[in-house]
Amino acid sequence: MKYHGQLVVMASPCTACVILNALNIETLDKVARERSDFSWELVQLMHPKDVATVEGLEVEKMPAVLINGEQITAGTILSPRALNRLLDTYSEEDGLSTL
Amino acid sequence: MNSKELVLSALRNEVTPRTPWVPFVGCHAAKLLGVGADEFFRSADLIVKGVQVAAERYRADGIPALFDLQLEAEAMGCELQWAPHNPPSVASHPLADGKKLADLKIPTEKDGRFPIVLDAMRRICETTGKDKAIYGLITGPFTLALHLLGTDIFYNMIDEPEETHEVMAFCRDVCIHTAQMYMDTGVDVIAVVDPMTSQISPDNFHEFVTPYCIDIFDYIRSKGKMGSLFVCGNAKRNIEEMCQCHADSLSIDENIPLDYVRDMCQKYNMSFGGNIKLTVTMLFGSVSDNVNDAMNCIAIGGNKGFILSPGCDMPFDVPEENCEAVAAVVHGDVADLMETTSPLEGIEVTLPDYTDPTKVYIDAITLDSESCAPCQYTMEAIRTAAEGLENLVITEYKIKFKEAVAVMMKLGVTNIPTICIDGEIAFVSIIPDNDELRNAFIAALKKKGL
Repeated sequence: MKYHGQLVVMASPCTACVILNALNIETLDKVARERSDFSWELVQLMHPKDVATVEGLEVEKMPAVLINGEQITAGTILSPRALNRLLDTYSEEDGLSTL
Repeated sequence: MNSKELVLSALRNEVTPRTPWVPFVGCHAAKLLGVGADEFFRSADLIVKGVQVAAERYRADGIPALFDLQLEAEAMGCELQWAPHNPPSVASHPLADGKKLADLKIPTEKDGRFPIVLDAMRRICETTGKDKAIYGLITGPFTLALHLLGTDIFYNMIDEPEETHEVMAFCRDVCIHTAQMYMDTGVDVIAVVDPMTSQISPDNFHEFVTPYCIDIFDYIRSKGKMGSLFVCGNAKRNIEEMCQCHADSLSIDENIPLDYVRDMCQKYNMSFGGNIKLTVTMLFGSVSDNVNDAMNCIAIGGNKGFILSPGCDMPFDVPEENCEAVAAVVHGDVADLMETTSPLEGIEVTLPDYTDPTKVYIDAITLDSESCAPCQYTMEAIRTAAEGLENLVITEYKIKFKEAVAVMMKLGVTNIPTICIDGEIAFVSIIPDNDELRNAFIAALKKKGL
């Protein structure tokens, strides 16, 4: 099973979002280095209306993390431990568990 | 009462003659100067100039000397990543990268960018600070601990609570020392900005943040200054806990309902501030959107202990006219603003014949009662007061339309919502009670023998 993450951020964030974005980038980077089954990309939205262009993005709160098109966070920090646990407990039937 | 006194009065939770306005200008000041944020945050001259330009252009009552939550972290060894259009971000965490707490020292006026920032703060206090309240913003203890530890802190709170307390105590000491350095420059208010507390539960806040914030705010108060606690993000669940941190004021963003914070703060005799929407309104909204948002905030905030401000530091690219729109609401000259942003050349309107002996004309000048809460209340008040009275002609002029702006100008109305009776301004930015409004209508009818 391969996992692909997307970190969705607004292009012009406030300070609080800058901190959240940076921590989420660190997490995704770290997990991608540790696991060969995980890759990720940064998706930068120029305008809130662009939310509709990201498949699977359901909650318009940034930064958001999606794994294989399923949104798992919105406006929160994802830690490496939490992401690894999420990927390890992935169920083919039920998809990702919630954090 | 000058601008500074207005802000300080509101912070003391007093009734103010008008709403004080404190735009949280951070990297946006760089845009005003035509430079990059990466250049701005490293130059005392640019910081001084940027604050001065922003304070004047946006007619601020108070303003932060600097909005940079990475300053203390950088001075303690965190690497920063710089960007031209954003604040810097922390790119390394010393305590997660092998350093011990004992290896870190509390930053002094000689460390990192503190020499630049303290120089800028002194100059800002001597100039812009003469009549405007200057906020010295320090990174809150939890956000600072997060900078030092990275995301490990979330598990450490569970697995290593004692070590986490040691880090938090160290961060408290950094906060107190930074607050002292800022107070020595002459700032009027210390804002403890702790946005990352929105990521933790009330229980964790109570255990790992409250005791340290209490020490910080008690220290600020012992020095005769006022302290405000800023949070960003969905921290509604923590608001009551924040109210027990001994701060004078809370400031929140659009993720938390302003009426909830108002009620909670008033319960604890605290002032509060917020929460114009940063992205939807300030960054991407129109001038009318900003007028609307500001009016709604003021309607909810009221005139006791409320400071109007954005939800967090304004993004770099916020259009200047949007901030000017908020200033126009606060200073009561929306008409001038609307005329400037919506030229009326070629627009001709005819006012009703107010001498008409058979009718009394009630004109309400609003933004739009369908979207603006105070405007909606005004129209409801007029309709209720007019019930059963004949010969009244009620018209709503929505200034989102140019024709209505022209009417506003002709009537000499400068702010919204305003109620005019037979062409005379009767009620400005106030929703009169039913008896008062009805009596005004009846008096106008009697004047015409109706």
